[in-house]
Amino acid sequence: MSTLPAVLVTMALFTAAGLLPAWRLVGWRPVTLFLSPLAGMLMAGIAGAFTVLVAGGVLRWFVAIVVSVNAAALASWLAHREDGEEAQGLAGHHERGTADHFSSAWSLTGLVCVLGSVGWCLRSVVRPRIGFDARSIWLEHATWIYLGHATAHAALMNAALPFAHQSYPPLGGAVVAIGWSVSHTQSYRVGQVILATATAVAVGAAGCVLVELGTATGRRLRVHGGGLLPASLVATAGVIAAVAWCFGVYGLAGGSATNGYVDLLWSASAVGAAGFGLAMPLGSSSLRVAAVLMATGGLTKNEGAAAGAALVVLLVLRWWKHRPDVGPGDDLGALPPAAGLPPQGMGSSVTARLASIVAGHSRQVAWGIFGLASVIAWPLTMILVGAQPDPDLSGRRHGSIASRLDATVRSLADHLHPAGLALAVGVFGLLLMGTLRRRLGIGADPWIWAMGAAEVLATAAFYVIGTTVIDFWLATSVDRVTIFANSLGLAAIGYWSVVAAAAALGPRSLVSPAGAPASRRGLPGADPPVGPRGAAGSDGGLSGAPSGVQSGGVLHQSP
Amino acid sequence: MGLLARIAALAVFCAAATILWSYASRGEGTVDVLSSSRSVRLAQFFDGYYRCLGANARRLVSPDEPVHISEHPPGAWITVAKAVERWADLVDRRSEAVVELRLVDSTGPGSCAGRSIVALPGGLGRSRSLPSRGPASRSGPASRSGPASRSGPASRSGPASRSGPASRSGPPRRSRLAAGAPQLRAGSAESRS
Repeated sequence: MSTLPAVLVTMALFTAAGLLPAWRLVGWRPVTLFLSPLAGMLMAGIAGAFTVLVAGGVLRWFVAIVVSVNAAALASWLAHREDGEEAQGLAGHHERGTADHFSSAWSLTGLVCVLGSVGWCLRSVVRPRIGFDARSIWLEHATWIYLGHATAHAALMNAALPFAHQSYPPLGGAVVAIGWSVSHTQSYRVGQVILATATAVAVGAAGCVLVELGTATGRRLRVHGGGLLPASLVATAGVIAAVAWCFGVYGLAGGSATNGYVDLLWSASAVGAAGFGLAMPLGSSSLRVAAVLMATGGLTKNEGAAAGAALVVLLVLRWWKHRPDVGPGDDLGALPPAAGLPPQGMGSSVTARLASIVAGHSRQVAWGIFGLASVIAWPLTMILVGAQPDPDLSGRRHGSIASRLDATVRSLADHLHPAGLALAVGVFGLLLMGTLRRRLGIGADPWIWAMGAAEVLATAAFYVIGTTVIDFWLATSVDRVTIFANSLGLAAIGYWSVVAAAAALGPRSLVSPAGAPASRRGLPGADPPVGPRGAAGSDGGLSGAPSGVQSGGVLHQSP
Repeated sequence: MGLLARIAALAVFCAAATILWSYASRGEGTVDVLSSSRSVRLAQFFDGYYRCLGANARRLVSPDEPVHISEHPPGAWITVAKAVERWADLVDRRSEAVVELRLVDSTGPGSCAGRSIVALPGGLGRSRSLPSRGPASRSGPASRSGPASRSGPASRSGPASRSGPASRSGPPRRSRLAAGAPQLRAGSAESRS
């Protein structure tokens, strides 16, 4: 089988494996198209982990996991079908919005545009250049995993292979190994194209944040009395920002996007997770998208695990900030009490409040635990099984901490220009349109800043405490480890472009403070309830659900 | 929202759009360069270079022989590793290897873009250096027949399947990067290529 059919067969397999679970998790929305193969790849990564750590071959594990997960998804669908919720997925409300032609039309338009842009950028894969790390790390891991547990486990312990960073997460290698298995074409070229395609899928998923944000904001304008043209222009701003972001990140990644590296794969996954988890209005569907993307990034590279851990913390904080008994001074306003939660004032201690919220949000807690476990399980397991340590972090340290810190700061500063621009735009945006952004239900920009800062600080810490000669290490890697922060910065700029378009074109009833309710509690733009039942049917109205409209709000019901 | 606020919002929109357009243009330019015929030819050259070195090494050592890669000259070690790691049985001590592979400058018929791999005796077996017969005449840099296609994952000769600490007794080895370069015996490094 030649390269193209091999890659097509592989991606079709991942898409088929992840389609039903993805649909059950998030329903039909633009990102579902990209989430399906990503879910399949995530299952491949888990299969790879079992292959390395337990026994057997990766294809058997993959089949077993796919069958189990799809059986669970099917059972879930059948159970909800009996309840009269057929064809809705766990996201529930998404299909109720089919009457919203505006959302449907712009979602489809955005999806086509994102598909086209990542496909266009993917054309550089015609260059059969297999990168340094691709050859010595990712495709090497794929070879071990392809050969099965005995080889993979022995490689994990072999001190003669430090260049291969044996303890790196298994998703990239497992995806390629399964591709080799099903296509019977065990060539590095096939592996390179599979990883490039997987990267494009992750970029598309992250681009969908802007498409969905623009569409939802445009629809919001219409609901508030805006005309079709302004609403369409706002949705167009989201679509164009998504396309520009896709092109932009391929520029940031350069050759590493298609030469068998996985830096853009984990970065795009993490940016998508941050977008769905921190920028989109809180809702269980978006949280599930974020969880899958976060797990994908975390099982791809250790930096992705660090970013995923930071995201989990920030999600918890954002969730805590939006707890039902939030005080009147809170800038995001209160949420209607969700089912199963105590009314305001109950539970005086922090522990009691936390316990009550956890009890009332079991699904979100479960997904949070899944996300956190998926990103920290692999690094912890590597330590427990005694895998060869990362050569960059072991041995004798070259240079002093101070000199390493100085070199790291200077090098990072030279490579973080897009993130710096995003910070500048964010400060101005926050001062000028922070209120509107909150009213639109879009997560505050500081969440994004915190996410980017956490990753940059973690990266800097690794450079400083690492042992490799710092100048060499920075020269060969800093352009790739900053892809995430810069991509996140470009995404943040895209979010602001949507908000700014809404501010410039929106109806007075939406954009003017005078048009908003006097109380900050229950602002139409406040985040939706995230209670068990409300969460299952709530995602901020991003897919065109008219339910909020009927009750006087769009992104949540007015109190 | 007053007119001024809308104008300010428009200004932020323009700034955001300009930044996004700038990076999108740069991305398009990058993709354009990467997919150019010149870039493709260069990539094919590098791909062929490693295929050639791999084929070169395959003539010197079989997959079931423990191999040590010389760290002379500095930096060449990783080049050899990239060429052989997929199938070779790598060990991190010369004393545990049957042969040691080294990258040398060579302009002869067996060279790959001015380099070739030669085999030196290791601590376990061969007492003579092995010549590089040179693959260039049959599988030069542009050749499509590299080690991956002939002895890829299906060969069951993974680098760690036999040489990992799990299958060998003794204390854990030092990291290869931290290990000192082995001392070559005088006269052992030679190549007939």
